[in-house]
Amino acid sequence: MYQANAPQAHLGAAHKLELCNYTVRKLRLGDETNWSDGVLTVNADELKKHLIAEAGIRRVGIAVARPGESTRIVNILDAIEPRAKPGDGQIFPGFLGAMDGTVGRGQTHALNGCAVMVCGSVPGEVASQVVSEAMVDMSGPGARYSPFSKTLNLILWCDFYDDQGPVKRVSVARYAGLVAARFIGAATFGNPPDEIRTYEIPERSSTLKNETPHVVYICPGMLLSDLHQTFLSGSALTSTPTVVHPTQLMDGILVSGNYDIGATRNPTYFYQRNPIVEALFAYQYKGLLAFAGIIVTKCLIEGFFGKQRSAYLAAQTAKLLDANGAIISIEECGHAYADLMLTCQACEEMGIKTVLLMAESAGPTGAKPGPIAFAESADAVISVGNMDELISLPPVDVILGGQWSCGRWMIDNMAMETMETPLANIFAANCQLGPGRLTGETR
Amino acid sequence: MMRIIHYLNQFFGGIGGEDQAEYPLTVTPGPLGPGRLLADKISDAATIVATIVCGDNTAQYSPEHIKAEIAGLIEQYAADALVAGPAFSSGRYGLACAEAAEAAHFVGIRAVVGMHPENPGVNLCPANVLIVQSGESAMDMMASVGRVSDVVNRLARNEDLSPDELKTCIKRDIRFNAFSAENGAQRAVDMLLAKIRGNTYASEQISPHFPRVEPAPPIEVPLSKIALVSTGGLVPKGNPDRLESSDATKWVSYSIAGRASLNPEDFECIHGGIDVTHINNYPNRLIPLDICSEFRAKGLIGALDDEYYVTVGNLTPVARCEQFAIEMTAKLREKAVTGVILTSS
Repeated sequence: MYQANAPQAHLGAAHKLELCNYTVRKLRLGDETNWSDGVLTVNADELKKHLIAEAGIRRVGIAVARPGESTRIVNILDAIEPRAKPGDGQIFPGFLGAMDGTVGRGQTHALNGCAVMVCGSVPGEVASQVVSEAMVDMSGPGARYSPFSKTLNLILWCDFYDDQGPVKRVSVARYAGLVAARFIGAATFGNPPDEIRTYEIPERSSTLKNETPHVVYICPGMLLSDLHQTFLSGSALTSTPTVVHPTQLMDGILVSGNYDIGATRNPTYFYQRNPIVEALFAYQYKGLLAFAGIIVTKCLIEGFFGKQRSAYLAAQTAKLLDANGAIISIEECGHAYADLMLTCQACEEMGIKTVLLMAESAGPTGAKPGPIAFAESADAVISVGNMDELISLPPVDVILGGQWSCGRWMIDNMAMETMETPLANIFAANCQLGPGRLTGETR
Repeated sequence: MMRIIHYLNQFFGGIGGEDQAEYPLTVTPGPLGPGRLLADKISDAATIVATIVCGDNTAQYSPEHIKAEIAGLIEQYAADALVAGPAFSSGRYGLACAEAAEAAHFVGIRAVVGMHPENPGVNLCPANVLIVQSGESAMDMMASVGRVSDVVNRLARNEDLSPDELKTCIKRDIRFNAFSAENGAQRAVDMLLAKIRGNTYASEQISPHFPRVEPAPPIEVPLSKIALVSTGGLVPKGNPDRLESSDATKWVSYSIAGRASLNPEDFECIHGGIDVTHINNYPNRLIPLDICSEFRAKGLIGALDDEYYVTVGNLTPVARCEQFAIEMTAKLREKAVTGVILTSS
């Protein structure tokens, strides 16, 4: 029988998270796993044994990719920031432990500047859908497009059992990534952090009194098939909006299980270290706004009624949170933009001012007409760039993450030939959570 | 002297009308038809070294092949620029001109195309193509060629277009990627604060123009003759014409003569944006031949076309879809079809 161990008593009633940042300036493989003075050392053998025992993976290769190296990482499934919570705190609830009152509260240790990057070849179809390519160049012209060319990356190169089909492979890899992230995050225990950042949202009664604008963040995640999922505390998202505390994102309450278009999928890393959450908190501390909460829902919802349902429930939820304004992000493209636009329209109807983040699919020359859906009330839209733009990637010295062909390119050729690719294949190049500086303009 | 290669369709190339729409791609040295007019007006700065003539259907049947041929001819004649049209408001011709312009773009030379602003070819031209506004029909030939020649003369002399000449070029919203000082999230929050405070801000994306389609008036029962049309990508097993699963470049039609239903052994769905399982189990879910056959037996449908018509709507630009519609409608009219059942994925 489950034994509750009353762990949260010491946290009190306040919903407050102390994020202990341990900056990683150097990442290397070594005989032990620890963090000291900006140097993160990972014992690859120990981690491998741990992952094979825990995650049901056949084999795993571990390597390091650093900014500036002539390295291309391919077959990327997801990236995760190494994080762990001391004591009885739960990280990645629903996967590595139960959801409880520690999620988003107490202390969380984060290895800032570092990412666990889970890679693996996953051929085959599920309900007509496949795992799409996502790659990162650590130097050269491709590097400026992916935020992960600037992080120190620990590559988990997963190898699967032959009888593991696509759905099993991605779920095994997903679990391995989370296990590794916590394992490495725990290397900080006992060390003082570089900085502690405290995140909490103010009492609404006080901010309502002084008329500070209340801003919600509406965050739809993709859910379309078993290869395109987003998990909220371990369960697949539904189109019934859920309010979560921003600090719960920092503890991994949202985990990506979406392996579609590399450029526009939302990596787990950017749920944990969400650029919109960061920007909203920064302005809250300046007294410019009050963060009223995050509304999580799904996108690529089937049918118009389903889309309307999510849109109006989300807007109504925002209204009940006293929101004057909403930032709405999105994942993927195509009819996800119908979800985005309907949510915008519903909010504006209820008097909530909106700003949307949206990628463009304007064709390789930028001449293709705009998105399939656009609401009249969508008068404030951020562009995170055109994912169809072609870029030329030069040959590289090292290829990590896969031994099979990646998309239409043969791995062996990448070391010798220039490849021309749309940005769509560059991991997080047009991420609609807004981590990048890319934008679009009409000329 | 700038060396120009000129692209014309079968009609303006003097071969013939619709009956010659399958005319193969041919090349003749020197100017032809409207090219003679153009040659006179640019004679100080440029010369038309050759004219390509191609049937409008031929250009649509295998665009990749046609583009490669045109690219080859540009190199063979050492052309410095390509001029196409004017195509006026003729849809297929406009599309062919856009193909020619793409070939020029591929080879790396400039292209000047004459078109009416509503020609569907406008949106399919590569970004750096100069599209000079023409009238709706050949009635405007003199003035249209005049405007093209002004632009060609500037290009040949390596001069900038005058403000008036710029106005004759159709302005399109070409999108370019750029790097901003702040990340997207920061820009979003800044924009929201500006919007809440009533300050000015500039949206980074604006709504494209969505043309409205007026529904046609109802037709009378018994419905005759009805055709089945779909953007859902149902093709015979093996996809013999290689219809694309997204961003389709063509539409195709397949015989349903003698069939009362579409069986899963013979047909499959190649649409790339949906779960095709249910369609593949029972293709009539996408193209309702089963129920139409039943209705025909009951006399509710007088006659059913012996082919169905299909493309893939997934990520296919609206301009190209408009073009498909023009072409399909021409064929449907030929076959005396009075109504269609149009299904999407």
